[in-house]
Amino acid sequence: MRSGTPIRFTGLVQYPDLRALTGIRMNYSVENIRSALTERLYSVIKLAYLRLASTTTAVCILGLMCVFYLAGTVFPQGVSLTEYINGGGGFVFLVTLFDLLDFFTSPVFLILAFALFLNLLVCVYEKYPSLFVKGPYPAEFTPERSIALTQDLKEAFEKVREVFVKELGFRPVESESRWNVVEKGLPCGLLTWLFHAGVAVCFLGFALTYLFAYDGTMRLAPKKASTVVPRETGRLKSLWTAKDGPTDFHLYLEEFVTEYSEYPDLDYPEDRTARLAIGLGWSSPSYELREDSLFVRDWKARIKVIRGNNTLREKTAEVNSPLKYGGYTFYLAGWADFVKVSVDRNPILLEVLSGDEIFVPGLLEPLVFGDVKSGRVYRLDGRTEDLRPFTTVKRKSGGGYEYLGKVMFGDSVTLNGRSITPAGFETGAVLNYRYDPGAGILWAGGVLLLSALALRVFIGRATAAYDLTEKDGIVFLNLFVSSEGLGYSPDKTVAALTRHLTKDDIRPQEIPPGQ
Amino acid sequence: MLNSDSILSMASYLLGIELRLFWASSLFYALALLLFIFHMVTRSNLFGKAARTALVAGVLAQAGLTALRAFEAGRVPAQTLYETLSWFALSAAAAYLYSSRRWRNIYLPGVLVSGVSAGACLYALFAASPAIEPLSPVLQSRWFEWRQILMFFSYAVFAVSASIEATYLIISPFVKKDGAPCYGLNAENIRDFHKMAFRLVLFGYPFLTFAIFSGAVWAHNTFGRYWSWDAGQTWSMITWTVFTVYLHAKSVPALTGRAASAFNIIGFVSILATTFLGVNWLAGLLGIPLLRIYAL
Repeated sequence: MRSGTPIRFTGLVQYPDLRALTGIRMNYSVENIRSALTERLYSVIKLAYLRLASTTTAVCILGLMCVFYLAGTVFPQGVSLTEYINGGGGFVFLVTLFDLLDFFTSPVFLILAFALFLNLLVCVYEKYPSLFVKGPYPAEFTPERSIALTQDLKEAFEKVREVFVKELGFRPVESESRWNVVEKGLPCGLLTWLFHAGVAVCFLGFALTYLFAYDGTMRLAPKKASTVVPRETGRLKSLWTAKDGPTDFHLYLEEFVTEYSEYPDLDYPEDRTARLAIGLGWSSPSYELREDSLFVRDWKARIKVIRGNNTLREKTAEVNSPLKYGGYTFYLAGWADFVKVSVDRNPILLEVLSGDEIFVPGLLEPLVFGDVKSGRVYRLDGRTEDLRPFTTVKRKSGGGYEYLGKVMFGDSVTLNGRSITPAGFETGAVLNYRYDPGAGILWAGGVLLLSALALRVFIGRATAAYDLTEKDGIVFLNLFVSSEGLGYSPDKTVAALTRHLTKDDIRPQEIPPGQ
Repeated sequence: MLNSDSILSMASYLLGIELRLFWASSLFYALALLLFIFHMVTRSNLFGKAARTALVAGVLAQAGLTALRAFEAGRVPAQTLYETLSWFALSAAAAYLYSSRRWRNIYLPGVLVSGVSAGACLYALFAASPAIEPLSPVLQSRWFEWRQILMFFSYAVFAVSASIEATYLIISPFVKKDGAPCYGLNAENIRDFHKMAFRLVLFGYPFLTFAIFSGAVWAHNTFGRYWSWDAGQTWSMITWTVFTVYLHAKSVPALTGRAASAFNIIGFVSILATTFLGVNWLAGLLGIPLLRIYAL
């Protein structure tokens, strides 16, 4: 069809309300309709843009965000609907409609977060040109304070300028104002822009994490190499692959160390009256040292990253000090003890993970060996010593477990005539690994945000505008002082100015505004 | 070198002193609250001055016990519930005393501040254990320490701001031009008084931001996830967002008045909710089961 050819829109004739809705006037040419639609689309986009550039919109979106956050704290996240209903949860219709059990990844929440991000981007974009504009000062200021000076106009002008610049550290600003404008401090507009930009960068980091991050858990057996075999991949990549491939490097656990602190228990009453009695000095709290009151103060794993015979990286990983390699970060989450058990001193050993049940020949009920306590212990009196390794033994009894006691490695317990000996153990490290390309960007955004915010709030800027007038032979210094941030105070600036002018024997006398 | 018995005996003795100081500071705060209420009822500045003095005494006692506990524990005392509540109470009372140092005969905000401080102290003494125990390895992080210190400090500053905001909202309708001062507030000073609420939020906001950021760094270093949407983290985000709304509202002419004031008060309510009621209080209120919480 050639453009400009008149066509018939029977549909519009049948449904005249549509015309009213679209605002298209009756001239049925494709070009007219196209231009009208383009115009309408443009006006809608413009309106949306203007709305997004508004602080009021930011207030509305942030307010709604609070309500959403609140919903996320009220409803348990990550549980299934069945679990939720079985637990006695109500509002099932709302829970299903808004996906409230997985709310922070639900479309409703993500749309709002995206709207906030757009709002932020538009505001940052809108403010960008104003960063290069010298603060637009009005031609006239309304004086907030007037100070009478005793010198002639010319001399007073020089003195006031000298005090502002030399004594108070202000710098003169070029402006089209009739008044003299001076300022001090940091460019607040730029800092405000920077911390908003920092938040936008943080959003990018969040988005990358949401789309690409994944994690998992692996166990490193001592003196053995293990490969990272992810069970999944990031959300975006999961569209074309279920999981990432195994890494081309291996992790090798060279050594695992646990350290314990001896700590006392406090004998402290639960009863409120008894607690008040301590406060009044009628009784005293007391610490007591009990047997085996050992607290794990640290655990460390010496891990090597290897490929073939080459060691690519080596680190002693600790709880707050992960190992990083190949885009992955490996967090030391805990450890797993494998207890080797000898029955009737048989050299063939049974092996069981601590906490798991083991059936011992000759016993009807399974046994459970507790966590192995080994490593270094820091005693309360400052001594350090190596623990003689021990574990605990429990036997399944009815629905629970019967505690049989503590057993040193090499010692035995006799059950039903069988001698059970924990003969040895191996400790392996449990690592959480994570691939997260968003974290670095988030940190960069966070540093930008925090630096700009701190400078903007704690230092800020002071602006002063002054004008000297003469009336009946008396020279008046008319002042307007304003500040942004907490670093400068108009009152303090005026007080300092007055002090310096007094010192120079100009003898100012403040008179109330309006006189 | 001291033996274990001597060490335990000394630790018990120091804890006894600390608890007495804590009770003393709680009583001073409670006394201050009572005197502030008398001031509110009688409008006598004498009660206001006496309440301020009691508050000063409470702050001194609590500063002493905080220093003592830092010595006992060998670390910053802001890690357990007992310690964070104590730190919150001290910060709130001290922030109030500092920000009100130039006020003349204005004592009303003290009602809320002394109430919050007394409440936090008594809650710590009745509901939490003062035992100094070794920190779990996951909590042995400077980032975690800074998170705790700054978060509760900022909450305290916001509490003082809310007390000023509430006073302003209640008193401003009664302040007439050229009229007699109402609880020390008149047409001349009420604007500056109200401005203090904004300045306090402005002061506390970077601290809260840094606290959330350092909490994320700590979680990232320890668990591998900088954000996990657990109820605690989400509540801190709620508080941060409410104060972000407040600061933005202050720059919008249509919202800068009562709407902004309302946001300040809502922020304070969210602080109270997390500090005293616990992060799951609302779920409990609505009868929603507290099932496991997962990290995203």
